[in-house]
Amino acid sequence: MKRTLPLALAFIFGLIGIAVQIVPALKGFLNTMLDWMAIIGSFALALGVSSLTRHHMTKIRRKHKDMFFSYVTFVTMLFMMIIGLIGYFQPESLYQRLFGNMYNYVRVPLDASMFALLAFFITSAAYRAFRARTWLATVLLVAGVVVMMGRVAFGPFMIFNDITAWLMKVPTTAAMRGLTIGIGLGIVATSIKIVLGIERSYLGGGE
Amino acid sequence: MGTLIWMTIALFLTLAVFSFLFRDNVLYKFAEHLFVGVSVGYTVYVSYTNLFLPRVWNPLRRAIGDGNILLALWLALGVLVGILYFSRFTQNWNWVSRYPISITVGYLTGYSIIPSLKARILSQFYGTVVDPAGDSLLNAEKIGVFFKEPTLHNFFFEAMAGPLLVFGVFVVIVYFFFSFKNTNPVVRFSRNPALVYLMVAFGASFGYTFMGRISLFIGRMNFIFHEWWPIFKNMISG
Repeated sequence: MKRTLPLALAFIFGLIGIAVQIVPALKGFLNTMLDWMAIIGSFALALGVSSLTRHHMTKIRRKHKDMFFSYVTFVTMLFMMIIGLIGYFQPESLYQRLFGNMYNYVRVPLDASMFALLAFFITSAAYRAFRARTWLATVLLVAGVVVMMGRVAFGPFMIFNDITAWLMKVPTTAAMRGLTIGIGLGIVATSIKIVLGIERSYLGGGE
Repeated sequence: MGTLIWMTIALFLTLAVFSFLFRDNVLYKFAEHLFVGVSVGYTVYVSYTNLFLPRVWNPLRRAIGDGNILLALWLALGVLVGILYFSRFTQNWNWVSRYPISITVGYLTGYSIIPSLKARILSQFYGTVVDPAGDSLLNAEKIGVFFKEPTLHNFFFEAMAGPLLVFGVFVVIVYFFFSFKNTNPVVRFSRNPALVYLMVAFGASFGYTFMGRISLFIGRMNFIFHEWWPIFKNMISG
């Protein structure tokens, strides 16, 4: 019950996943199965939200020194959910405008700023990683610098734009294609191992 | 006025995030937790409107309305299986959550085998044999073009592009599949060219990612100096 049945379910549903694509008679069943997976997936999201809520509620209950920030997360999460759902059922209402403003002036700036912040950290990481200690590191450094120059090339520096175009078209495509083929073979091999029950790590530890 | 208030909130949050460059501080922590809360709330909204309503609730109502009891039962069974996820919160029954996990993992891994074979293996090999226009990548006519008009562009973009691409894919695949110690001359020969291809690809990818992040930073600065500041200045000057 604890391990054998989940493995049997993975095997049966794995075969169904293959069959709905290759057996013509089952192709009509494909969308129904994808809807079914979406239903189960939506509960996984609900589980994630519950876990986040529990984590922050525990912090608040224990009066953790950072409990103010748990309130921030918890309250804004509820606020966003409630005004979003009310706004969905009452279009053109104040709730929908508020939800739109929360998205445009809170979520979008935070999202863009968080990713922009990474520019500074990858610069410092690159300084350490790209030091031309070996000739291969020098190749990495030169390719990175040429592409950066190529993205902002102007006037006499337009040559960097052409070099970037060639670097992306030939060596980068070749390397990424080689990697993609390797990854594809890995996905197929691991998928077969999961369906056959050879790979079981997704079940977690314990009995 | 309302727009200015919202834009000032956006400005404050942008500066709060960038304050992390100095060091971890209360403003950054506030912005970080706000981001998590708002993003999760937004994801729940999107899942409800784009996933739950069109794929669960509406088909269930339609199935019941049409008298399609079998489909209604099937969808209801999906809901019941999904509810089993919540057994993770119990001490003695948390193993029950393995059922929805194994159903999802089993189905999606089985489902991914054929698309992976097609998109990641067969299409990639096909793309290494012929270019998007349908011509062979090892087309000798393109080398002839270079000899008719010997320019750097014709050499790199026409004559050598295809052969170098095919050679690159070959050496990278050999390098990955025989990365353990091997004395075979082909494997030994392909090591250095493969590493050059990989280093160029990683360097170029880094350059692209870096410039993407920089453009986001420029976008934020544009927002502050070209969107928020003019409105704020107009309001101050009456």
